[in-house]
This record gives sequence, C-alpha cells and structure tokens, in this order.
Amino acid sequence: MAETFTGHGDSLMWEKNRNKIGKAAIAIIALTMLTTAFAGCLEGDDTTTVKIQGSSTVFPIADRCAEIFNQEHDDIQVQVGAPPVGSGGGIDMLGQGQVHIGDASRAIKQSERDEYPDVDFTDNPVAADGVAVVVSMEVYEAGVEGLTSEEVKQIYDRTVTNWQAFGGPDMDIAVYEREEGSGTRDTFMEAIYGDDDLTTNATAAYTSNAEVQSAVGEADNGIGYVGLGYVDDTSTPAVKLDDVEPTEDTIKDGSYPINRQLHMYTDGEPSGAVKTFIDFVKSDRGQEIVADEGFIPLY
Amino acid sequence: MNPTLSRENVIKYILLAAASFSVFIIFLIFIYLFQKSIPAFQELGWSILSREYSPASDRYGLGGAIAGSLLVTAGALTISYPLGIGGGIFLSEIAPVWVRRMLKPIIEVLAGIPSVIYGFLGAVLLVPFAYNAFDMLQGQSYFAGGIILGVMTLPIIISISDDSLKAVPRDVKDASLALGATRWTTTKKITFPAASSGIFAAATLGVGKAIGETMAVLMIISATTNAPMPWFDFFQAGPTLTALIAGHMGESAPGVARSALFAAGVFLFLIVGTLAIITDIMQQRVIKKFRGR
Repeated sequence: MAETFTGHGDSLMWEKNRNKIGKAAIAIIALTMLTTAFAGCLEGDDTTTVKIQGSSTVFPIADRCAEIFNQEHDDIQVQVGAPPVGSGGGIDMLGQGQVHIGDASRAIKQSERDEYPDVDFTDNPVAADGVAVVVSMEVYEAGVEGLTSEEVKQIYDRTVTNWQAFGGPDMDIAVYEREEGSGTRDTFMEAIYGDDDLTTNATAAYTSNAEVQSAVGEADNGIGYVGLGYVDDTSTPAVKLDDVEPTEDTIKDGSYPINRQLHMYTDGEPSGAVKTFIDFVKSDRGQEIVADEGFIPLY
Repeated sequence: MNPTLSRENVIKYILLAAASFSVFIIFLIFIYLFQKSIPAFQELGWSILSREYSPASDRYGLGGAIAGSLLVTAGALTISYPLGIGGGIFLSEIAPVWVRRMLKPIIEVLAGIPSVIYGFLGAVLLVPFAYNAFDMLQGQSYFAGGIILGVMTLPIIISISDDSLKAVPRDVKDASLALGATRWTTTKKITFPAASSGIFAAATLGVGKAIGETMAVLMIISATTNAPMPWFDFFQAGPTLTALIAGHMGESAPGVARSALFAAGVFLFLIVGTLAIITDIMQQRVIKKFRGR
C-alpha cells in the first residue's frame, strides 16, 4: 500500500492546530474537575434517610410500608435494600452500622450479639408468621394431607425418597429448601432438626419464599417450606404438621409447631425518624399492610 | 517540526494507554481477588477443595462448586462450539447471500439479549420440559443449565466466527479454488486456518461467558450448596461457583466466609485463564501448520 501522507506535512498541520487542541484539552479537564468537585454538594438536602436491609420474608412489609410512608413524609426517606440479603445479612449490616433497621424473620442469636458487642440490638416485633410445609398439588390430591415432624426430617435428609412411603404417588421427592442465612430456613431447621446450623440433603435451594413456592408449584413431586403468606391453595397447599393445620389461629396460640415473629432490629431503642417509621409499621395502617401481605398482625 | 511529536505518535501513545489501562485494570482485579482470598487458603488449606460447603457449620469446600461450573460449561460448549462454528462457516461460506443477509442481523440481536431473559425462559419453559421429557427427579439440573448456557453463547460464537471467516481475503480463497481444490477443502484447509485467530477468540469468549453466567444459572439450577452424588451427575442440581458467590455474598460473615467467596472468584479466574491459554496454544498450532513451518 502506498503512503498516503508524509510525516512532514502532518507535523505542519499539528503545529498549526496545537494551540486549539491544547486549549480544548485544558477546557475539558477543567470542566471534569469542576463537576467532580461539586458532586459532594448533592447530599446537602434536608431529608433524613432511614436504611433498611435484611430478611426476604419481612421485605414485602418493609417495602410496602416504606412506599406509603415516604409519600406522606417529605422530610424522611425510607430506603429498603433490594434484593434482600437475608435475616443473617440484615443483622450483620445493622451490627456494622450500614443500616438503621435490620429485618429478621428469626430471633437474633447470642453469637451475633457477641460479634458486635458495642451494638445494642433492640427487638421491634412487627408481625407474627408461621412457616408452612407445602407440597405440589398432585401430591396433596393423591392423599398426602399431613406429615409428622419426623417424616419431614426424613424427607429432607433423603432417607426416604419416594412419596409412596407417605401415601402419595409413586414418585421421587423433589426437596426444596432455602439458602443458609435465611431466617425462614433457620426457623424451619430449628423446629424440625432442633438446630439451625445443620445441613439437609435437599435437591435444590432458592433465595426467596416466592421462588420456593414457584418451584414446588411447578413440580408435581415437590415439597418445600414457605412463610404463611405464600401458601397457595391451588398450586402449593400446606400440609398439616403433626396434625395441626397452619392458620392464623394455630400460629397465634402456638399449637402449630413452626411459628415465629418478624422483627425489625435497631441499635438501641428507636428514636427520631427510625422511631417514626417503626411506629407507622405498628400502627393500624401498618398492620393492615402486614395482613395484606399474608402475615399476622401483632397490634 | 519535531518528528517525535507527530500526530501519528500521539495517537499511538493514546491507544497504547487505552490498551494498557484495560490490561492494568484486569491485573488489579486479579490482585485484589487473590489478596482477599488468601485468608481462606491459609485457614482451610486443602479442605477448600472438599465438596461440603456450609457456612453455618464452618465448612467452605468449593470442590462441589468447581465441579459444577465445569460440568455446566462443558454442557454449554458441547452445544455452542459445534453449532456455533458450524453456523459461522455456513453463514460465511455456504449460505446464499439472501440467507446471510436475513440471518446475520437476527443472530446479532440474539447475541445481545440479556442473560436474565434466558434464565427466565429456562426456568419457566426448559425446566418443566426437561423434567417431563427425561423423567428426571426435578428439572433443575446442570443439564438444563448447560442447554440454556449453550443457547446463550451460540449467537456470539456464530457471529464472531462468521466475521473472522469473512475477513479472509478473497484472493486467497480464489487461488485455492483456481488450483482445483473443492469449496469444502478450501474452507477446511485455507479459510478456516486463516480465520483461526478470530474463531479461537470467539471460543474463549464463549467459555468465559458460560462459566461466568450467574443469573441464568441461579434461576435454572437454583442456589443449592449440596453437591450431587456422584459428583459428575449431570442430571442433578448442584452448586456452581457463580451461584455460590451470588447466593452467599450478602450474608457472609467477614473473615473466612467472605474470603472463601473471593477464593471462588480466584478459581473462576483460574479456570477461564487456563482455558484461554489452552485455546491460544491450539490456535498457535493451527497457524504453524497453516504457515507450513
């Protein structure tokens, strides 16, 4: 290929335009630096921000309450972190001071209190909930309407692998659980295994109630556990556990074995904007939202 | 008239800076990953390769996840390599012009579809289908994940292979045909080797994309940490490095737990790096043979 220019002529053009190019470059650099310098001014508003993170079970309550609360309060902005990192994560973040409220669908553990000795974890229960054991519709219709705690443990350990053993169809059991760090998982494990630090032999694990419910619903041989609000009688009916059906009443009076409270933990007694929000969640409006989302109001 | 400051040189140095910058960033990422993962390697030693991962019981074995990532990638590449490179060859060498004109834009659009959509479709369509069609325990499996990842990486491999093959100068191909070679021989022995650097680059990209895919894998295989028995059971669900990191980063305690996740990242890096090196060696071989030296 022939040369299309000589280096000589090129330098001439460069020489002529060097001033223009130099000025343009300096202008751009200066503009960039100025813009960056002023970026810090964006935070100078008068709104207080309340940050919340944690349980995926509590998430719908927190999110919906925050939405309505933010509309009514110009001076407070409640930010609920998404996607939720789980009860364990929420407590961790509260301990490290990254959030003002840590949502949890289980009680805080002593080991967590020990990990953050300077943080005064204060419990603000906002709702009651139960963890229902659900099965795929086909399994329920074939006759599996109740299981004992022992049977559920056998299923999750996979010492029994066929539904026939419990009066169901001749199919292998697809076992769904939650990820470690999930408050729902901890509550379930505490009730069925007696210790939430153990592992099961489940065949798949998801990171939210909705995903577990969806997976069990789409399968025809599945079992899983979800918060009460996620039970869908048409696709994932709940089975009786030790002969007790999970309902609002049996959870409230404690006869259903897997029950829990949903917590919003704070560092010390809530005050200021945090208190305003938590009071909102405990108010009639807030508790209405709790009921809407399928949980049991406490107040 | 200072020759060293000619426009040519300035552009050259700017581009050199840009290229070095990207390499530098990747280098820094790797250093950071490696540094953060050292506590895990120190405290766990060889047990980091065990199959049991359970933060609650202080076990951080990544062996199951490593095997899982390799399995799912192998499945994906089984689909995307033959079909991808074959598709590229078809598109550039065999297809009539009107077919190519129609297919090429479609394939490029497919290559740009976000992976979460593939994940969603896979979870909603492929998982139930696989469950029913193959009488599996559950649709969630490395098998379903491999299929979706294969489909996901297919358009990119086709597109890049096609571009590389098309870039081979016409006169080279014409010379071969003029000497009496058939079209297929020309493609196989002349065009393909000439385009090999591009095709192998496509292959490396495909591997990187498949093994690094997180969202689709999470939605199709789930976030389980129970390794399947036996470890190479392709039709069960199990952990993958990416799903592990995504599923546990949020609530990992700082210390060994978080460090183990960084170690998972290091393993990912190592696997892709190794495969890239292997691909590069293979490509060198092809070029050598092509050049006849």
